[in-house]
Amino acid sequence: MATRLNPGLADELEAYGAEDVSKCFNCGNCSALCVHSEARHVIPRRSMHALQLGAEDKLQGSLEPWLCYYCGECSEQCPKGAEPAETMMSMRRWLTSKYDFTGISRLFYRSWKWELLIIVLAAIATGIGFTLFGMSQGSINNYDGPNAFLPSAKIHVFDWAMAGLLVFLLGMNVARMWRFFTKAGDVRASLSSYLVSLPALPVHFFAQPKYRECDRKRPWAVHLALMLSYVTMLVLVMFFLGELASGPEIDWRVHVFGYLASAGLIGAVLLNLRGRLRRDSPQHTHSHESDWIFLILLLVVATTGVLQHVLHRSGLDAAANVTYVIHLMGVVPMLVLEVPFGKWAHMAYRPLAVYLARVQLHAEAAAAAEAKGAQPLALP
Amino acid sequence: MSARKIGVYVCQCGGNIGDYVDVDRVVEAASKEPGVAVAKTAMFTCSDSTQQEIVADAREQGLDGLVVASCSPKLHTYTFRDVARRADINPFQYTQVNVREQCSWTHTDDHEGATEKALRLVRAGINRTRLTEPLESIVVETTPQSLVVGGGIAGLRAALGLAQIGLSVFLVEKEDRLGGWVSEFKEMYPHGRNGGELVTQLESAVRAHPDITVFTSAELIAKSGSFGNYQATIAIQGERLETIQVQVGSIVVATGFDTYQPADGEFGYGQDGVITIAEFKKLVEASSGPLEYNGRPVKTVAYVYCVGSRQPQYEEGANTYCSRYCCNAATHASLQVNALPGRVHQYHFYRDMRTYGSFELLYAESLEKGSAYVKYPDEEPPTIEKDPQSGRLTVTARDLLSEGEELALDADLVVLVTGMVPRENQGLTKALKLPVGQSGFFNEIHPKLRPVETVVDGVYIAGCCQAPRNSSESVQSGLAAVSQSAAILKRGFAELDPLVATVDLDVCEWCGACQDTCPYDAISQDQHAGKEVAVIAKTACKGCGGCVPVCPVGAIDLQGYTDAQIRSMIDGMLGVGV
Ligand code: SF4
Ligand code: SF4
Repeated sequence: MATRLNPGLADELEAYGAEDVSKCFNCGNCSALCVHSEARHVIPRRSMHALQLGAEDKLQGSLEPWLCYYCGECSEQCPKGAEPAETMMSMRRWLTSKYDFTGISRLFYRSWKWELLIIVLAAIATGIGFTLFGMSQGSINNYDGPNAFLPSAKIHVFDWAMAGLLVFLLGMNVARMWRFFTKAGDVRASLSSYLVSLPALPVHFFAQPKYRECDRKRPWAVHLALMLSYVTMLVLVMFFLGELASGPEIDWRVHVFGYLASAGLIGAVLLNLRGRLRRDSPQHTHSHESDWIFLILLLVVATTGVLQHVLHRSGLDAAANVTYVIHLMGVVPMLVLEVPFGKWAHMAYRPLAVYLARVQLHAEAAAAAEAKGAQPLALP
Repeated sequence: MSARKIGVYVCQCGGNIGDYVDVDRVVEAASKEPGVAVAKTAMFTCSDSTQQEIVADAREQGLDGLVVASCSPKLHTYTFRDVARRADINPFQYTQVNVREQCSWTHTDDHEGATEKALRLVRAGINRTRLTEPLESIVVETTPQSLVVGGGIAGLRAALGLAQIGLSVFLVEKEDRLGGWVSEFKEMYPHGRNGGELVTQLESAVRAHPDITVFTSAELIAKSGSFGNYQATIAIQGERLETIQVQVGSIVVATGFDTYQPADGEFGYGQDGVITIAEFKKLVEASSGPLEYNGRPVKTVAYVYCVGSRQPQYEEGANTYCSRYCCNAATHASLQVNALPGRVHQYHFYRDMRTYGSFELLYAESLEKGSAYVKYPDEEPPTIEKDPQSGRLTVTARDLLSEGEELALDADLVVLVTGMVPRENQGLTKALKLPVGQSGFFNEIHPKLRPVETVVDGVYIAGCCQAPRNSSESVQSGLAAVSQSAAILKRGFAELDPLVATVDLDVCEWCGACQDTCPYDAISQDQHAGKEVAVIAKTACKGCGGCVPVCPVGAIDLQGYTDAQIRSMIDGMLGVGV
């Protein structure tokens, strides 16, 4: 079946940050130097061309934008200034909004004003909600104990409820990504292909070994610090919230992780912000409004998290409670809006793309082997 | 023993000849031939020092003939004729023997054979030279007037150029107006100037020039006379048809091209919404608001390149050539579309983008303005289909830049980027005896060295009647034809090689066989000593020799290649003693 072209696609992607794709004349320099490019995945040239043509269905089911880690070398070497790396980034934004069935993502990426407004509204609602909730629970002057303003046991329940919502939303989007992929590539993989490739998922989720293959190692290191800090924090909050909040003694078994993770988060965010302000690398040259919103939100969450803890340890319980509410005002929009609909969704899509690419390879190897009447090949 | 004093020089051409042919043996053998006074070899005979050596030898020894055994006569005939002249040897008593192309290059695996062949060829050359007579160039007086056929941009500019160097010019145009194709263009690339205005300027300069006579609705129907002095017959369609004759020294043919007209159904042509680039250009130039076709808004345009050009060799009557201008014209038209209000999506289905030279900028700009390019495979051109229900036009093609994937585009307008074809010009081709190439365009003598000359002396070709090209290239070739005309007409005379056929009038019995065979109309019937004979106009004769063998009484001989000379050469090659 011929791929039907959508002439308006490139125009549409402009809103997602793809401003220079039309300049590309398909020389392929970018793919010649991209370490992730191979016979099967010609990154980024094929995506550039598909976008120029408006091959929407192909692009929508393509994993290739996710196989790019934005080292930016292609953009530096492109003879036409077509900014392939930034174009790949904008395709990831577009894909995120395509996967999202609610349309929120599309709204966010196409208008930063809407994104900001909704985040602020969510923050205000969260603030009001928790203040009222706190007043019903105890006194603002008590951080913990029987009369605590925000008792950790109850917040814990709230955390899990929120995690459930998040997993649901993200799960729906991931399912759509899978469907687009199998449809566009006409992928028919058996269950065993899916199972055999499964180990790739956690590996690429936690450590991004592909990112490390890029010539520049620093962005990978900073990203790894951010990622590990974030996961650590998540584990602490989800499983050790009581230990984290109770005092006045410091419980080193959990707090040492808390401090390390906070330092990691704040450090990585600051490095990122500084990089974007100075445009110190190709990756930081183009900043979409959503990038700023994301970083600032993360910074607010991390610093208020540390601050409320310090205030509490210093015996300033009222101040600690106020800061805690502010912290939650950041956490809720971040988790409910940014993770399923915004930039953070990539933490699911990227490892998934690596995984699906392997599934496809395996399925094809299996089909080829079957055609020859032999056993499926083991993946390297 | 022969009384001749001939110099023989055997070239080594670096190692080109010397590595395969035993030149010393050739020199040795040549020196023993009767009439040879000097026999030598040289590393490069064409070098300055060897040329001087030849001149010195000739003066010292009083040489009266020269043989150079080196490369092809195409390369160095004129070089060594000139050496002969400087050495006081008659230039037509020099013979070029080709021992490079014919010996060393062809028999690299057989040195002995190559040497033997060289020996024989050199001997033949010496034999021919021995029988040469001193000949003088034929000098013809030329008429300082010129005829330009075709009043398009190339013809107009050539007419003006000829007049500007002081020649009288007759300009003949078939249509009832001057200007040709360019007069219909509005914006042209790369300078953005208006084609119509440019041509109007040129036309007024031509019309204002006192030495140019313009005939419109006129055609050249016959040509007689010989080089430097042609009578051209021009038919003019006025109230009634009249013919006039003009005397000219040179003729510049600039009759232009036609656009390729797709057959019905070829790439969907003939359906509503499928048009040629020429039609599209008119449409775009007539629009001031958003692009519309037949009252419908046009949001998506698909260009299909190479229609009527670069057709596969195996097809009957295929236009295998690249029309060269159309890639530029289509990218330029797409930029004109970009300049109209409203967003139009443009897709270019091409084989190769041949926006050569600075036209690459047109391509780059059209890319940046959002045109998308699809490279279709040579052997699999796009197909265009119309859905009978919805009326939707769909272009389907495989894209080599998407690994051969098949793409389908719904377009509001499909533009066939049609190329150039030669004009139907039978009458003119016959009147001037112009050679036509495989592609149907007029042929030059040599594409690099003699790009506007034809085998008909004094008749030049310029512009698109020779090959597809753009307007500035057409004007360039028009001006090249001007300078070629100047070369023969401004001196007032021209020199021709005397290697022509001559009739022994005492032997001739006039049967007319020679006249029938001459392709150049050089032979006519005349009276001599009370009988009918054939006479040959030496300025019209090209020395082809075609008449020599048909004469039943052997009355005709070719100067420089007489029967006796040819026989002696055969003897030389066979090794028969003289
Ligand atoms: S993005 Fe740049 S380097 Fe890559 S193919 Fe296009 S023009 Fe070439
Ligand atoms: S100029 Fe371009 S469109 Fe025209 S024949 Fe040549 S390659 Fe084809």
